[in-house]
Amino acid sequence: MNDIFCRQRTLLLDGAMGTMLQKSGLRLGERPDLLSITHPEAVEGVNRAYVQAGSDFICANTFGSNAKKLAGCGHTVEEVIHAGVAAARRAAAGTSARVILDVGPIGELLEPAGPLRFEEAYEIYRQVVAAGWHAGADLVKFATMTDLYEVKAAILAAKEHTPLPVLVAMTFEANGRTFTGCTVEALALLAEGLGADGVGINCSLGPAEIYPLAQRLCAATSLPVFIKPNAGLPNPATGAYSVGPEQFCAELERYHALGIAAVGGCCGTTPEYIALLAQAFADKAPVQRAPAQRSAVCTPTRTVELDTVRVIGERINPTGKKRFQQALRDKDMDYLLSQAVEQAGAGADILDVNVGLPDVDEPAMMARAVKAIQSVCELPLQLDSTNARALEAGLRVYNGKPIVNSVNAEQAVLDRLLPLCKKYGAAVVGLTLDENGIPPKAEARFALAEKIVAAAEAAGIPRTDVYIDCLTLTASAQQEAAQETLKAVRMVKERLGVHTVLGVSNISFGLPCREQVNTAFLTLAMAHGLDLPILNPNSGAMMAAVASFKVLYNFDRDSREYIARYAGQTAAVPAVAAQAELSLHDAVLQGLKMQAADAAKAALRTVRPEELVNTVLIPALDAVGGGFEKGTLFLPQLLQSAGAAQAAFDVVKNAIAASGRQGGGKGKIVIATVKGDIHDIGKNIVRTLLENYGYDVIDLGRDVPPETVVQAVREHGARLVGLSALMTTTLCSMEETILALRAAGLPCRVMVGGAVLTPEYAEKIGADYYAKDAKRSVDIAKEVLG
Amino acid sequence: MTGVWEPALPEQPDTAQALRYLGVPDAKDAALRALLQRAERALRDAARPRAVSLRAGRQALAACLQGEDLERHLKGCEDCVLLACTLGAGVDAAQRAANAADMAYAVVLDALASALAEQIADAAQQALRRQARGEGLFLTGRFSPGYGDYPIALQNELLRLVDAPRKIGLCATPTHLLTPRKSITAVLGLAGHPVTGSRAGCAHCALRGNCAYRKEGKTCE
Repeated sequence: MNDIFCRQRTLLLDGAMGTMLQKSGLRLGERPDLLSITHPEAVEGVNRAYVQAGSDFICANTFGSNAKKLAGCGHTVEEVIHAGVAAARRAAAGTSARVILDVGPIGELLEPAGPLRFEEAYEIYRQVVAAGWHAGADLVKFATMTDLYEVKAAILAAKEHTPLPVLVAMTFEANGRTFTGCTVEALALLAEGLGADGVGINCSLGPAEIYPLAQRLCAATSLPVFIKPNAGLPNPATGAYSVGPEQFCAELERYHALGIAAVGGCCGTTPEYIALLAQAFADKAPVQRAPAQRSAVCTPTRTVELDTVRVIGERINPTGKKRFQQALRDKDMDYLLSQAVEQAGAGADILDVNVGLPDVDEPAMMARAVKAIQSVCELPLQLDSTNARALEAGLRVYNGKPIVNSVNAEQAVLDRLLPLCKKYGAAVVGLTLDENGIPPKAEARFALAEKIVAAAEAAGIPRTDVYIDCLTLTASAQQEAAQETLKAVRMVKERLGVHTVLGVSNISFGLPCREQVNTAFLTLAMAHGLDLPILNPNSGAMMAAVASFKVLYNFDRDSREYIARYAGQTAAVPAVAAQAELSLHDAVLQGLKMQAADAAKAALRTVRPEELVNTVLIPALDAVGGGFEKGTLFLPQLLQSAGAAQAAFDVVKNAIAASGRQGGGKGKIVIATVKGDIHDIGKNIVRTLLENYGYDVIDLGRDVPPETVVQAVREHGARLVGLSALMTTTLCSMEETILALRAAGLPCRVMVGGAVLTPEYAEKIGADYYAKDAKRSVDIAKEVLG
Repeated sequence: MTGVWEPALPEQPDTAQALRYLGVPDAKDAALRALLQRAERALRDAARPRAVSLRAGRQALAACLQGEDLERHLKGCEDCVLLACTLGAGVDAAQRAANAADMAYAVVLDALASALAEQIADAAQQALRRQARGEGLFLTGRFSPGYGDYPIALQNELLRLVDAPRKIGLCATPTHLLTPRKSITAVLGLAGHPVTGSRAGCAHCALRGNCAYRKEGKTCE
């Protein structure tokens, strides 16, 4: 327990501020924080009432004092926070009560749900915490938070810009999740990892409903835990809260046994509630907690406990993949995202992310990849790089608790990377090698593992967060090494008591039928204590080995997972040609992806890639597009055909990449949903169709500022730009973007589309083309680019 | 008529409405039916409908009420009920994953989610109407920011008044778009005598210029 809280006594927080101010005449819609300026005596009165009731901590009236919520109010953030902290300081004067800078959510959703960028949220909180510190607050409390990403921005801002202790509380629904889906366990992992001084739950629910959530929080963290429940739930008719002071106090007394460090109240509670709590907890020292030492990583919505074998998907890695390398150079995220979604669907628990290439700005790409993957996939990530700047860029924007892959036993590497892992609360993979290479013998690798674990602990990283990789060597080259790896895994697991990780596939390099060797090695390694195999989850045999191992080692109780996965399936048999093969043309028309890919592969044996595109794929797409225009085919079918064509195109692109030639793109098109607009499905449809026709589409995403469009058009030399906007309110951004493109003197044509656009309006804002639907955008592309 | 609640998911999604959004006349196509079923399953998993409402006098709510069309809608009503409801952040996450994987599925999911948001708003409105009837009062239909000449820019103020970010996790962007996306806000008039309200009509509609219904001589309702 740190020095904010106290071993001898359960400390008292205060009760509600907002509902108290409402009682003193705050009008509907008025900003409560401004009362610190307009009615400082009322605010000070509430603060003082809590001090007199026995609060050890009182919250300044600063909950909504941020640049977003105070916009247009006529006062600066600094003024409002200063007034709020000053009122609390006056109320606390002459007592031992400490003043909390109380900080709530910004009030807008962060990316990926909304357009507020993580970095902007960080800046907003930086201003708040700096103001609070200068105003004389004793500590910072972020409360009523619902978005873990916002929590991360907030804690980082407080840690990096003030010396103040930091408490953080989120508000949960009775199902144990916040509105954004964040779990209690994810809060615990992130807050502890980032070095918060206490973690808690407040608001939304009464003490009875929060109790089971507090139990979970206490089990999930070694940090001091505090709670501030509402006075029950408000009556819909009257707005009155349901739990009176005596009942509230009685229910909070139950929490004592959990080892709670501090208690208080949220909406609906008053000094009367706090005075009763003060009596009830006066002689109660917090119960000593001993939460189980657990290893886990997380995203807001998914916590992965390392209590059994967990599969790390290896596919997001450009090594040896020409297609992926090209996608990275083109800053094309689609390929990477499809790999993420596919591996999640195949049953991976964690995804490794490696975006390192000599000619790619790895730090920028790592940050971008982490954000992009987290927007579509809830699996925790393992950030894979040797570049400290790339790792930090990824760690900073990662939402949750990730793994860093990797450090090794070389002192310089440990010194460089462990502080980063500590600062951002990441688990870390340690490779059993050093400047002298990989020791051949298990004993020597074990010694390096010992060194890594000791260095991590010295850096403040608990051994539960260190995963040792004893390194897989290639059996065809160093046959005796396989057994040494297995032996080292067992030694590390049994004698160091840390988790183990291994890249599996390397074992079979140079051998035929590699999957058989991989699967056998994987099975042996799990039996020797491997927890985290890094493998291709699309390999049915390896995933089956993991599922079987969990049954045989009694992890998968009653074989539930195994049955859920394999019931009703027959054992894998070699694939045979099931049906009469469809032609590529028919497969595209019928929207059948696998058949289209197979047909393309078959066709490429005799036809050149470009020829296949021009003589089969494009005519098939034209036929579908014609049907769409005539009204005999509709959008879902158009897109299913597009999906099938895409599958065929992937085969073609792979063939072209494998041949080492440049892709036969027909020209580059930059597309974007304009600044301020987040409705991007129309733009995504357009992208799909344009790619079908062989255009290189640079998709800048949604909420894209004009200057980003200008920069991309210039960089790629694109001759066609597509802009979309759904709302009347964002059409002005479209016009600004077109003006910026013209002002930059770029020789590009601009097509625009979106529900509220008309041909007349398109002309008025200076667009060259109005695309009434996605099909029309293809016609325009043909006209401009051929 | 002030409070937070969890509207139940409907037994059946409004597939007909989703098809209308997709511009598809019927669901005869087997592949389309499969996509609709997949979308329905995803929505059952991902949707966590929440609603919040606030009853107050029109004077107290003046900051978020504006425009001739809304004025006409609220004729004869002294009080208003503000309503905000959302399918929750999980649906947006499911939509992002769909966008990255399969656009045909993504557009179907988007359409069905929009239809579901309407159903939830209808259910929320019915709950409010029952409460009103219990007090011998009458409610108009919903009128949302962006209808007619009711400025969409008041979205943020409406959300602030009902405390939607804190109560149901519903926010607006600086450009007044709702996040999570599948969400609906509205104003309903409340009176002691039967009121019906008045639809916005096409005169001030933003889609007036290229509305498919208008071209066919129909309206969207």
